[in-house]
This record gives sequence, structure tokens and C-alpha cells, in this order.
Amino acid sequence: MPLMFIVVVGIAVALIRRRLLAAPGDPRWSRDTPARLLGWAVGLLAAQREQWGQAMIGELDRLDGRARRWRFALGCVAAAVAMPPWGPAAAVLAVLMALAASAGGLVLYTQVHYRLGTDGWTVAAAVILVLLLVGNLVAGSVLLRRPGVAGPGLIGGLLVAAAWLAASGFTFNQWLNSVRSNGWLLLPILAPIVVGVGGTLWGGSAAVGRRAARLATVTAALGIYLYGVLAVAVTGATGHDPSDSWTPAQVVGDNLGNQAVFYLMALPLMTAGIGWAAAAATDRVRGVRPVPAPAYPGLSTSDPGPVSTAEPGAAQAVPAAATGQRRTWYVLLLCAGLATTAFLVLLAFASSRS
Amino acid sequence: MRRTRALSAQAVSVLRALAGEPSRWRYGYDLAAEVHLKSGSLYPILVRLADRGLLEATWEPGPPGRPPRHLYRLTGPGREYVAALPAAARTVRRAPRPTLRPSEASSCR
Repeated sequence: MPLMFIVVVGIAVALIRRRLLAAPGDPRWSRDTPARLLGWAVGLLAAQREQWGQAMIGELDRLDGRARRWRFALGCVAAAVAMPPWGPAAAVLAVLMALAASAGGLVLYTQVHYRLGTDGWTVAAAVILVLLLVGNLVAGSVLLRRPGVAGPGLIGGLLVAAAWLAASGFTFNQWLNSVRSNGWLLLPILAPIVVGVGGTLWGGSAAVGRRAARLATVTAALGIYLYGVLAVAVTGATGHDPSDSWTPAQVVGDNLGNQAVFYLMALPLMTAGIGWAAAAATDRVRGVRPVPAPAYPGLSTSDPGPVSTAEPGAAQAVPAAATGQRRTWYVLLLCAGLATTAFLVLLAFASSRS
Repeated sequence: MRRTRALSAQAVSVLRALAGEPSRWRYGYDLAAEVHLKSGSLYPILVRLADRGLLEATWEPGPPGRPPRHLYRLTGPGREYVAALPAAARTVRRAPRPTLRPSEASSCR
């Protein structure tokens, strides 16, 4: 649990840091949200469709009015996300969908077979579960289409899944009762580090390393969740001590809920967070800097239009005072984050001892 | 053998809009406004038409620091395709719900 606190606070600090330390002319922040969203979606297109993405960007650039820009950008994002060809990503996505569907089906089977309750909370939990599964699939479909990410991400997913299996024990009973010693718990921490570092070295940039860690997160989460649900469905309430006043249905329901919380929420958060930090650290140590993407990267030089790669405002000098002020805010934020983390960790230790 | 699927009613309406002035280059947004299509439907249609060789595209240079804009018009086969359409198919059976307000259609920068 303390590790979860650290990961959450670390992610928050990193996100705010990225925004605070961004230069005023940085195209990631100087464009409005529809333009940034469309720029992101265009990056998903296959190489032979890139010029269509640039066509969308060029058209959006000429539109005025917030609502109109949003409508146009959202339509284009939907088109770019679904536009074929998907290549090998389609096959991998089909496997991920099969994992998610199997897990969902097993949950339904367990619910019916063990006659678990069907009150309002069950419905709410089912909705959350569907959102988590669909969210993982959407994230996976997006990451699979990023150049250079699928290989390290899928290998990383296997590695992370193997680490969680090794840490929990390979039998269903060990899986549900966590009987391994604490030393094994280092494996789920080490695996994302390996993925983040490996992805960065493989792809040559921290961005690839971060995406590989996220894809590893998605694949491992879906695979491990299916394994966990299978464990619950097979073992049911076997070995449960009747004197603890829990009914078998309650035991099964609790185990089922734990699988979703641990492997669709905690595992992704931890794996992606640690992998992200590892990728950033590798980038720093190696001095690898992401190659700045041209503002309109899909256009070849043979296109008739003169393509400027300068972003409005990109060449503006950053006032020293403004930079200093942002750095001060960042340091204050970092201190607040560290203090919060330390406090939460102490709180967790204190509550575990009492 | 690859099977060529028939064009959808929306794709035909895009072809018809382009065929109105075959030699004129058209912007994507203007086309969307004219045939009442959302951008999410228009671009896949344009891609399909271009893949079939019915549509050609070019780039219009933008002002400094701005992206160029894509322009479209029918190719020779595209004009022949529209000319060969049965009269019934040349009219869209049911006009899709407009997605753009009239005031928006002509207010591109």
C-alpha cells in the first residue's frame, strides 16, 4: 500500500512538472486542446495514411470557434483512431479482446454459479468492471499502433505477468491467499523497471519506453485478471474457515472484487508509474533526447506546399524571470509531494501496527 | 480476386458535390458542410474515393508557421463514375441530419 501512495504522488508530481517546466512556445501546450488531441490521434495513423492526418490538421487550423473546432477535431479523432490499415496490431488487439471477453464471461459465470448477490452495488461494480476492461482495450489499441512500441510492450507484458505470477505463487490457492514471502514482492517492482529501461534503449527515446511500459501494463493486467478470475471460479470458497462468520458467497464475492481492484487498478497504476519513471531515468542517464517532431510531420518534401516546421511562438525567448518562477513552483510542488508521500507512508505503517 | 464494394450514399453525395464544379479544388470542411457530413465520416470517404482513383488531392501552402491545407477534386475516372451513375443514385435518398449551422459553413478563416 505505501508503494501505491508513492506511485500516485509521483505520477501527479511528474504530470504537473511537465506542464510547469514547458517552454511557452512548446507546441504541446501552445495549441488548444482540440489541436493537441488531433495531433495525438494523427500519430496513430499508418504511414501510408499520414497525409490524411495532416489534411485534418490543416483543416482544423483554419476553423474558428471553440465548439466548431471541438466538433471537427472529435470527428477526425474518431476517424483516425479507426482508420485502417491496422496491420499486425489488429491480431494482437483481437487477442486482448478475447482476454477481456473471457474474463468478463468468467465473472458472469462465477456470479451465477455461486449465487452472488445482485443488489445495486453489484450493478455498480459491473459497470466499473466493464469500463476498466474497455479502457484497457482502448489504451491497448492506441499503444499497439504507435511505432516501435508493440515489440517491447508485448514482451514487457509477458515479463510483468510472469513477475506477478512468480510473486504470488503459481497455484490458484497461493494466488488467492498470497502465501509467498516478501522478497518475491520485489519482482513486480523490478519488472516494470526492466520494461521502462528496455523500451527506452530499444526505441531510443523515453517516449517509446513510457509507451512500452503502458502497453506492458495493459497486456499484463488483462492476462493476470483473467488468471485471477479463473482462480476464483475454480476454487470458489474452498479452504474457507466457516468460523469467521463469512458465507461462501461472501468469500467468493470478496475474492472476485479483489481481482479487479488489484489487477485492473493497482497493477496498471504501479506498473505504468514505475515504468514511466524508469524510462525517464534512463533517458536522463543516457542523455537520449526525443527527436523533436516537425510541426507537420506527414508531408513529404515533394508536396506542393512549402511546409514550415516552425511553430508560432516557438522561437520566442523564454523570459528568465518566468522560467525561474516556474522552477520555484516546481520545487515547492516537489517538496509538497515528498512530504505527502512520507506522511502517507508513516500513516500506513502506523495503521498496520495498531 | 478483390471485390469492389458499392459506394455508400454518403460517398455518392460527396462525388456529386465535387462533380458540381469538376475542375475546382475543394476544401474538406466546405465539402463536409455542403453534404452535411461530420468530419469523422467525411475523411474515411475521401480516403476510399482516393484509393479508388476517383479523387485527387493537392496541398495549398499555408501562411508561414501554419500547416498547408488539403484540396480535392474529381479525377477523370471520378467524373466518368458520376456520369455513369443511374439517375436515382445521383440523388441522395435521405439527406443526413445537418451537423453544421448555416452560419458556420462559410466562416472558415
